Amino acid sequence: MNIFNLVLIKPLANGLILFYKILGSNMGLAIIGFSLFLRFVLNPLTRPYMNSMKKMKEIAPELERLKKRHTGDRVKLAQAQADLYRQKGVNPGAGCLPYLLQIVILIAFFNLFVKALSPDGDPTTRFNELLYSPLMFSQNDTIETRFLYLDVTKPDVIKLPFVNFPMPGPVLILAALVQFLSAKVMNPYTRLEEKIAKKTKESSDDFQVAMQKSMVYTFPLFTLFIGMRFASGLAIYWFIFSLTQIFQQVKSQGWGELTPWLEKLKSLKS
Amino acid sequence: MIRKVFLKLLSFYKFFISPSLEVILGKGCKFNPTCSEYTHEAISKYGLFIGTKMAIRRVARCHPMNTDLYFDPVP
Repeated sequence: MNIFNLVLIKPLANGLILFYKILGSNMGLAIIGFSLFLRFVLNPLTRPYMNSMKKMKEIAPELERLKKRHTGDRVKLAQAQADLYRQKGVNPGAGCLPYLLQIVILIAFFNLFVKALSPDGDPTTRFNELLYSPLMFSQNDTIETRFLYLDVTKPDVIKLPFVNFPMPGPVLILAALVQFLSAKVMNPYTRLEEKIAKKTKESSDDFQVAMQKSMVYTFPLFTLFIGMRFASGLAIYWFIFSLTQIFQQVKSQGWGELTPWLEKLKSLKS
Repeated sequence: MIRKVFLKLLSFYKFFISPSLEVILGKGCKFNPTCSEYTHEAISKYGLFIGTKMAIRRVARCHPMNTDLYFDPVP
């Protein structure tokens, strides 16, 4: 029994089963309910402060002026920027500590699914190993793992009649798509004119930006390929996770890189 | 030697892992320089032991309740 198991995986397993029992003994609904609950509880820790974001937009022109004044001198620029933030009471991000917490919970959740909802073996006995005594299942109980057309313990793959390799199923495709959209929303949107004006960055910054740009497209593909090997419950969780991410981001910072798409949609409608 | 390996690992984190995390979770660090840059500088300046200690303290400061520090370079 290691500490990761004791502090994280076990409480998560118990929470999941609690939701399973509340939500009419359906594992799919339990996963949706519990991940929504977790996101809601962790929200104050992870949300960048909404007011700060609005202020950030207000002071953007001042920041540009500072950048022009201190071109080439990173230290001075950083100092001036910090002073400006402090004056206006802006809090630029949530910080690394809640970030780490989120990563750890993500890994723990992943572990739980791999441990308890794997395609081989009986989920009831596997869960019983992780549960506290009031929530334990008795011996003739079985966990209901069917949800919509899926079995949450099995990968969401479809075998088409004339294709002899498995294809990702609808839920998995949806999860990858929503994850792509969430990555798009998270990238701040700069208009073309601003992009040309901003071409004075260091090369290391450029590399990171390029890396991130490509990740926006490669990560959803990862989701598809990895998802084809793991329990589809994980795909449901991933779908909910990305969806709430989009929701939070749009609420605090607007539509990001999806802004031009939305503008197009609007012009199509009118 | 070990210090160099650590610094390489940090660069690896900064260039490959951090951007992919950003795709999932959004921007994280609130400081300038960021915590990973700070750690890199602290370790190359003060050595592995003291540098790591400073880095841990720095990350512990990097949370949403902290409202008055943004510019926080390695001393």
